[in-house]
Amino acid sequence: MVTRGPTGALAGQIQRVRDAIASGGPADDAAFDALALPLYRALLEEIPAWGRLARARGLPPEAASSWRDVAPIPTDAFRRLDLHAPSAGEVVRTFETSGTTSSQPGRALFDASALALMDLAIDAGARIHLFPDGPVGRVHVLGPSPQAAPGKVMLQGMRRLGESFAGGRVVFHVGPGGLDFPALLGALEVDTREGVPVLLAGASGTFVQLADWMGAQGPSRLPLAPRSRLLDAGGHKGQGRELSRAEFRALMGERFQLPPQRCVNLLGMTELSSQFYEDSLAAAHAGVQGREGFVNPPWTRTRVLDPDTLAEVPDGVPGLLAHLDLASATRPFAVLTTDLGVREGDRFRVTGRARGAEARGCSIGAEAWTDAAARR
Amino acid sequence: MPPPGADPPAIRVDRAPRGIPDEADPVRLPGDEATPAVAAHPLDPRRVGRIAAALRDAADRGLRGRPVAGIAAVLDRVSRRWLDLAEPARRATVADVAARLGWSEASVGWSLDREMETSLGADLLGALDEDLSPAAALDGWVEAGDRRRRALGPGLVAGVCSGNVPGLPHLTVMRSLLVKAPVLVKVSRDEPVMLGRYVDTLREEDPELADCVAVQAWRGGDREVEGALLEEADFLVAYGGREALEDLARRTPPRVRALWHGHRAGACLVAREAVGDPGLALALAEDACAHEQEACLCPAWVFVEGGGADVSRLAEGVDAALAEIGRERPPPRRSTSDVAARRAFLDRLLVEEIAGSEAILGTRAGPGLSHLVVARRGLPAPPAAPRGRVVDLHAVPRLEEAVAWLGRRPSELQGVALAAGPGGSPALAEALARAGVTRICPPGRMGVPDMRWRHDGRPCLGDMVRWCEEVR
Repeated sequence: MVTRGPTGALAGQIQRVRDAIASGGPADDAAFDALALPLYRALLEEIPAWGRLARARGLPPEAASSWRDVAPIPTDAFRRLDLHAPSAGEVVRTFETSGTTSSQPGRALFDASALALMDLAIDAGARIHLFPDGPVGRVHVLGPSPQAAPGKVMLQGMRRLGESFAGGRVVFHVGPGGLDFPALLGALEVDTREGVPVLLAGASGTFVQLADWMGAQGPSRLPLAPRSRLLDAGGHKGQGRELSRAEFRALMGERFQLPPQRCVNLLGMTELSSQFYEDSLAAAHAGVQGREGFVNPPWTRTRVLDPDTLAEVPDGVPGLLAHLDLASATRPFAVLTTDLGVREGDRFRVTGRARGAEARGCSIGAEAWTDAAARR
Repeated sequence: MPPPGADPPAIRVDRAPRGIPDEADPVRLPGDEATPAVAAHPLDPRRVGRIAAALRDAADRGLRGRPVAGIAAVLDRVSRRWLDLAEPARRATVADVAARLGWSEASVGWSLDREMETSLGADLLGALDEDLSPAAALDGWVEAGDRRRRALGPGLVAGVCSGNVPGLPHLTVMRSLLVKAPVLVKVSRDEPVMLGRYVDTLREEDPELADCVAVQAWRGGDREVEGALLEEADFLVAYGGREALEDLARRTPPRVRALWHGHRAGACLVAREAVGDPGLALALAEDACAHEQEACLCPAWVFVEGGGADVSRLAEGVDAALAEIGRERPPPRRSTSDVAARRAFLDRLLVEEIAGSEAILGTRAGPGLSHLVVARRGLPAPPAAPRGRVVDLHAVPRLEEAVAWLGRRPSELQGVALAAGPGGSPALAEALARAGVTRICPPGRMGVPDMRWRHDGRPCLGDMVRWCEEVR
């Protein structure tokens, strides 16, 4: 399929972002501003809803003089609006967020240039945080293939990791009945026997399910080949037990004989093209102590905002996380999440989520009531 | 005095009849991190059995032979003491409950006042008269033509409280004692403090009556403790969410009769003729602040018969009224997560507006999102508004549409405030009753039912007794 590439003012901005990421990202805030502000203005021309939202927030786009003035768009907007710059080219892929009972899934629209930018960002981020010591022999994914679940951006990203850092050797371990743990463990045993270092990748909750399954069915331990590593993403989201980070690493260390620094957590969002990693493996590779929290790649920024005023709060004070990701250059690239977190120097931590309109006391939750009544 | 820097001692929340020894030190409830900390003696099936036996003995000795009027007189004295702002038990409770729930002391005091001023002797005897005919049958045989009748309360009532409306748990104690039944009540994790202190006041007024009440704390769903309790109890009064009640119901033996008080929702209905009433905005704001909108009687939605302009004008007045109430009774301290949820709700409305939805007429917020007023067009649709000083106004062409919408979940409806203009609206009241509503009142009075209200639509005192008749 031949797709039309970006045209007009936006094309130049996308190229500048691409060049910046390829060369390691903007070096400082001034360089970041030099990319972010023209891109913001170009996108506002094409996505008027973003401009209306910025004005409603009291952040007139024409007054923006720093990346901090870029109005973050609530993630909910991706559920309700088609947020894509037409001049970037036609939409070729749509990734979806998980829906809730009261809302349809959010949709992130990708044109060809957006997919290429995402691949570039995935490679650049993973090279620093997941493969600082070079590629591995195979990627095993605890999940379906992107063909089987085309709406899930995480699977697309994991396939890309296999293409870029395992010579295309990537296996998705889902059978007709769901996750195929026996097949996965069998494949891992073969790789271990042959000394093939692997990346084991999947959702955090799925890893806990796997570890529990191994504890119950055996083998309870399956040492992976040296230089292997584990990437977990997405938190638990109600699947399996919730574990602290230390408990998670201890459990994975026990099952796969992985040192704690080789368990790397990733925060990704369907609405964004870049990912945020823990720096445990990168720090270990550099011979320094890793610290808790996610690190921003140079082409991203994360702010913590007071949920009342949406003003930025000081380090250590909890608030709503808002991410800017220049690699999301054909969509609104500043997103206000419902994640709560804190900023700590050069990194941020996620501490929870905004509570919904659930029941309190003996009053029934309006959300449950409204949804159920609406479904009748 | 604890040494500087040491944690203050936990508040002991359990109470048992005299003669029940403390077999172990009080412990904190698992998972409870609220402050001030609370602790209770650990409960196991053996201790449940001992407490139940002591309660039955105490009822035989000092409750079953008492006239109802005497019991009501004691409860009246306790309520009056709790209405006294200088009463030490009340003062301590207001401070502790406010700290644990994050409510202002003024707001906790308001809730306690409303509960206690409707728990006076006349209310109690009035409720008995309405629920039981004749109530005198609780005291002895009552002639009824060719027969005579006697009403008897359960041998032992088990109460399971949930939620955190201050002053609500004592209702189960009062109802049990009025039908001459001893009672063992489980306090809720969020607000476990008030009931123990209430029983202390009862003990000061009448130790024999206080020996008929046990207050205990355990983790809801504890199979062993609840199994033992349900073995002992003859009647269960349970408050809670649907899942918790269904779980408890599965474990409740058929011989144990029960009152299930599940979570419910309320609404306000404003007829076209009443939209301009001068006191309406303040009354709607009062209903949204009563018990911090956490009681089953509190309104989740306000339906206004009229157009967008009517609702927008009303929203302005409600916003000002909420601010006024906030000065007298400051809103709760809200967690970052709560404020974030309010922001997410407002953002969803903003996105709807930007997407061109005509349903959103406007939003207003107090400082720190302490209160919210939302004006919308049409019946409720996502996003659902959070609770807690939130007035969610919906302009509808006819109130009958709102009644039909509410009537889709009849078993989950509770109170409705009806502003119908002069003369009221008998037809709407009838439609609401048929829809499932259990209480209709004017706006501003949703959160203050009295004891004569048939809670969840049931004559609760009547449900608790068993009748015996002797035919001649």
